[in-house]
Amino acid sequence: MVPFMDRSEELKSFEEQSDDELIRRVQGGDRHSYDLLVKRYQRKVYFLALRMARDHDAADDIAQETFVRAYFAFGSFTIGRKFYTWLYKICMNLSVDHLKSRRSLVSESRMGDETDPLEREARGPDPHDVLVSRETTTKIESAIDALSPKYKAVLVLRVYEDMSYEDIARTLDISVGTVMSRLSRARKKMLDVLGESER
Amino acid sequence: MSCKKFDKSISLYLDGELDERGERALREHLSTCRRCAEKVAALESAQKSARAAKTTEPRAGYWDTFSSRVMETIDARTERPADSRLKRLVELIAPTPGRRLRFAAGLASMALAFTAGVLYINRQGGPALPSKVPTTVERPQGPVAQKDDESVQRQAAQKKGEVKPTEITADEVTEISGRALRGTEAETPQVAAKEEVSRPSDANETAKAAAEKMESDKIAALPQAPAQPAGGKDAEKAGESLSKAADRTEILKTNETAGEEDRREATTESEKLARIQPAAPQPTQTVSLSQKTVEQPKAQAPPTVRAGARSAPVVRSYAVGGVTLHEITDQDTLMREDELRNLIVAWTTHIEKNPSDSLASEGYQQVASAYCLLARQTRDEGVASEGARVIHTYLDRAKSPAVRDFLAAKLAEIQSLQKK
Repeated sequence: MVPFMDRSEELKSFEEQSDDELIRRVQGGDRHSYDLLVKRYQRKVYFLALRMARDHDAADDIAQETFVRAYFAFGSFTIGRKFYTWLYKICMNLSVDHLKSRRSLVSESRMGDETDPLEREARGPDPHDVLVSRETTTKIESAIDALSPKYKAVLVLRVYEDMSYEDIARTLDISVGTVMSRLSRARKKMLDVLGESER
Repeated sequence: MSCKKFDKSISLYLDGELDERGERALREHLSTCRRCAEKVAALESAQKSARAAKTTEPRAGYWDTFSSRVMETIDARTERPADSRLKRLVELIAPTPGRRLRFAAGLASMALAFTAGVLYINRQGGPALPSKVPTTVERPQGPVAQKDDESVQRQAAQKKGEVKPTEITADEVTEISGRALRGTEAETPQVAAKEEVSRPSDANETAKAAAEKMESDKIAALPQAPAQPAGGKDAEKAGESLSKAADRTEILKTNETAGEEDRREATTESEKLARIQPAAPQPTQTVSLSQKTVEQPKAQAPPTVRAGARSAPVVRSYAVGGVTLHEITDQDTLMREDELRNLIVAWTTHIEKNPSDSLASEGYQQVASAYCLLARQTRDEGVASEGARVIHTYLDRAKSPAVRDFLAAKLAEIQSLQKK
């Protein structure tokens, strides 16, 4: 006889399970566990895609595709690895592909785009400061956007996701040394773009 | 040192990854180089602003439907690859509509011919076990080898119509049972297209009838046991009879060659038998591959062991939940979908009811093998995932390393099928 369990308790116990436990269940064919994993990481993946693509529809497509591909690639996932790093890897690959295809199609100039989905934080009460701050952030984001996808990827993972060099290396499938040199070059290029926009 | 050499150090410094010595060197440089100091300040400010940028949430309700959309795409894509591959194949074979029509007509003709062939073969050589199980069983008195010859002669006579098909020996029952469960009835010499021999509708009936025949045979063999009238048409009676048979016989093995490998397994099998039947002093027909480890009543020839010179595959059966189940292996690719499903149901039911039973680990392996065979046969995509889930559960339960290895291999196999 199965003891009665409150639905909320059942859900809670599921949500308290570690990634590895859920992954093991998914690998055993349990779709509900995959649904829980998606819910656990959907925001992180979506916002990472949004940082890269800077467009809601594209970010939605990338995030959805990330989870679909992850599902079909679960056989290759080794229990014990960091799941989010693996997920980010798929997401970043898709984002980089998206950026490459977009760059070849559209010449992007998003400076001063008021419909930008990334809202700037207004920290000062003075409207002038707010405007200056918003303008500065827009410029910085545009400078990051101007970077080639491979430099943008390392910078986004480091600056926005606060990932360690090792995790970035794992996510992008490059060495830690390459992460360091790409970050250095990305920052230099970003400053160059900012300097040009100041002139 | 030139400013260029500090580029990497600046980046590391901003990330807090610069070691103490490097940081000291950088600070010294920044105190003398205004350009680099401004660069660090600009980068620090830019990074701070970028991190402070707030993200807007997507439209209301976006997160509520996110995962369900993912699952829908997964479902759609699970079905799509096969369809698209088939479509591409058809387009490759017949690129124009006219050719496609001719191609379709050709395929239809082939399908028709195939169906007709299958029907013809079924009519000619379907399962041949009679539904009427004999009330009297002719028991062989001589040595086993002689019995074998008699069986062959009788089969030949039966073909000619000289001997009534109801007169079969326990040996034949075992043989038929094994073949029926393997789904290779068409090759058996007992196949008789006579009207008085009705064919069972499926292998289960065949197996039950065979087990019933065996049971009646066994009862006849017991010293005080009365001959049991076996009503082949009466399913309930057959079930009861089968249960009795299961009580007496947990593991039935027939071996025609009694090879070395089987001898090696014999000790384990005998231990299993000893565990299952610790207090069964009466002479039963339970046998194992090893004649050394299981005591056989010398006065009676074991009906399930044949020592003929003919070489034949080892046929091994288990009595599970009142049904005799034939052991399946990877080679049993001819087993039908319904047979595999029945086998899975019987084993899983047995395992759930008797989790600590000595047969449970055998059951895990049998279920795993059945799921893999079934996943290869069926178009039902849920089978692979269901199989993977079940095997995974058994993998957790199994204690023996050998069984675990086997289940792990099966899990990998079924997961690869799942991907396909």
